[in-house]
Amino acid sequence: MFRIALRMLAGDTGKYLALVLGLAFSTTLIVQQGSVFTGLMRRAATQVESVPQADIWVMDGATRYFDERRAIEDTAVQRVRGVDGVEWAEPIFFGMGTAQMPDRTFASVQIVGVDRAARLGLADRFEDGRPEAIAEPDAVYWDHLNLDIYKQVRTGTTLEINDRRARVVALASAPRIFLSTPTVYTTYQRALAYSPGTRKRLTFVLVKVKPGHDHGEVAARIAAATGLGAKTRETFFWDTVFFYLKNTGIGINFGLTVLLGFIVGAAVAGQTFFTFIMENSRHFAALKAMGLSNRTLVLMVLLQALAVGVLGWGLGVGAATLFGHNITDRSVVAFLLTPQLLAISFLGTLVTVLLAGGISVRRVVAVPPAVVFR
Amino acid sequence: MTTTIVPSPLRTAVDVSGLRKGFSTGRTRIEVLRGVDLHARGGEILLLVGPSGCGKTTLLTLIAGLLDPDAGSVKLWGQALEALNAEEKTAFRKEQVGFVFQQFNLIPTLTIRENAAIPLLIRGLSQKQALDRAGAMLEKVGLGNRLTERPGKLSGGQQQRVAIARALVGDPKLLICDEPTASLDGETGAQVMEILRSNALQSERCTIVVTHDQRIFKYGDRIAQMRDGVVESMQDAPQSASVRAIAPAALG
Ligand SMILES: Nc1ncnc2c1ncn2[C@@H]1O[C@H](COP(=O)(O)OP(=O)(O)OP(=O)(O)O)[C@@H](O)[C@H]1O
Ligand SMILES: [Mg+2]
Repeated sequence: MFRIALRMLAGDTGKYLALVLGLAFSTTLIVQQGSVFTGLMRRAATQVESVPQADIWVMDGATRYFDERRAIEDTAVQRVRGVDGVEWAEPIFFGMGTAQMPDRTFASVQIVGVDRAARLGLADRFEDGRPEAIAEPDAVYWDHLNLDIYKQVRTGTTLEINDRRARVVALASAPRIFLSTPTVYTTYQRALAYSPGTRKRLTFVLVKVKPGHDHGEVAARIAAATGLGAKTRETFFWDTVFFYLKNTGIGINFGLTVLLGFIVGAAVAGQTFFTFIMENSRHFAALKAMGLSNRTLVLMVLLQALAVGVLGWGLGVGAATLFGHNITDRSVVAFLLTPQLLAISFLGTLVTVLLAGGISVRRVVAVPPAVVFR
Repeated sequence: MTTTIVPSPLRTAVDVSGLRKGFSTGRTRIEVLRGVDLHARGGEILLLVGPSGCGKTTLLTLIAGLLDPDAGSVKLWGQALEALNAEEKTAFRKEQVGFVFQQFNLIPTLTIRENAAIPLLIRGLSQKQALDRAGAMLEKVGLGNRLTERPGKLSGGQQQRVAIARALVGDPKLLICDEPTASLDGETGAQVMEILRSNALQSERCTIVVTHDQRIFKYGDRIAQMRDGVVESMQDAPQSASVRAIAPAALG
């Protein structure tokens, strides 16, 4: 009888399509919007992820997330190196600056300064130029994030950053960050020169933990020994993501879109399924007259519901994946399809079809088989 | 060889006594069946006739155990229906009862072979076995060359033949037909009754046909006349003797 159930469903082409497409639509919306959302949220902490060699980030003790930075003393690097379990520690500088463009317009830029020897945090993908020339005087990499407004800057362009000369030796291509400020990569010393100020100018100390040591424990030891803040890479990443989630409303705004789409898709699919079952209630009654048990009837209807659910979900995920298929961490559009999203969308679809199936099946079971004689 | 034997005495198959059934609609209550007594035998076609609204369909639903009576009893081959719970009644119908409805009640999205196979699928036979047997049954009702078509492509008479194949495919002991020819023209109705007559008769099987259609009276063995919720009289059908003469061939 289960094959018959599926044949009944597929035979009603119009409703079958409406059902599957309705569910596919709501799935696409959940998965696509969800992926854009996770993609964007990941960008909030891209820079933490982009130094995979560092197990621990050391910072000012009051720092809550990546974009909130207070400089620490340069001597912190030495002190961190002395902590048990630390394999190596290197400085990195993050700061803002103003770049005077060749056409006399200017751009706010993010300055990243890395240790010349360790090169930790330096861009490693390039569109153009001579990356090895970073050691030459005034050399910088320029990352215009694929934004057209900054494309006037090329390899060989000379800029002024905070009134100091900078020569672009290569165009970098790093994963996109949350903001649309271009990034200027240079050596640590040159970055300090671009950012005149107090004796405290070090932003973070990047730490590699010795094999066999627990990252969390070493981070706690560093914090205790130096009086600074120390977070594992994962903690820092998630602290940053959740800071934006909590404080920007981006989560709620995306959530509302997704919820609305889900409700519309689910309502359409649920209503269509209910109509389908009601239109067939006479046939179900005939089957009951012929001796079909209520148990089998319930299973048949739930199978029909599950069948459209799984198919609709599959198509929806397919469509969303197609949408995200050319999107990388360098693209303007963000897209990150996580297993959690797949699970959530599947659960959403499952709840929809089981609810519709459950409501419909109650009605069908209540239809007395004697109606087939009417 | 002409010495085929009509099973005799024919066993009582359906034994209805003192059956009462009423329906409440809002404040009013109508007593539809007011003490029905009826006996039908294995191997016969019993026609149930009477004016519209006298309770024929209601009686059928009670005999099939689709509704419960207010009073009285229905015994099928000695088994009292009131002694069975709802599940047991459903199981009884699954094994023993076939239905033919006025409105055919075929599932339009299935092929006619799938439709005819349904009673066997409900019994849990494999898809292949069920479809094979349904195909053979459709062959018997003259639709062997249209197995994979959908009911909508067929004429009314052909659809009713599919319904008969579906009703008979599980070889039920009781065959219940409510106005099987009412949606058909005279000639098609006669064809359907011929098919019913030649396929439904088995020594054990009892066929009850509700009808208004005088032209098909000759296909019955006996006629029960209903009026106002009771069976008023019972008589042999016209030409029943001659019709019965063809029965033994079908008794197999
Ligand atoms: N479920 C029900 N609820 C209320 N009234 C009902 C119900 N079933 C039947 N009736 C009423 O019982 C009466 C007899 O109905 P039934 O269908 O048994 O008559 P019938 O002899 O088959 O008539 P017809 O020849 O028109 O088919 C009718 O008045 C009908 O309205
Ligand atoms: Mg009737």
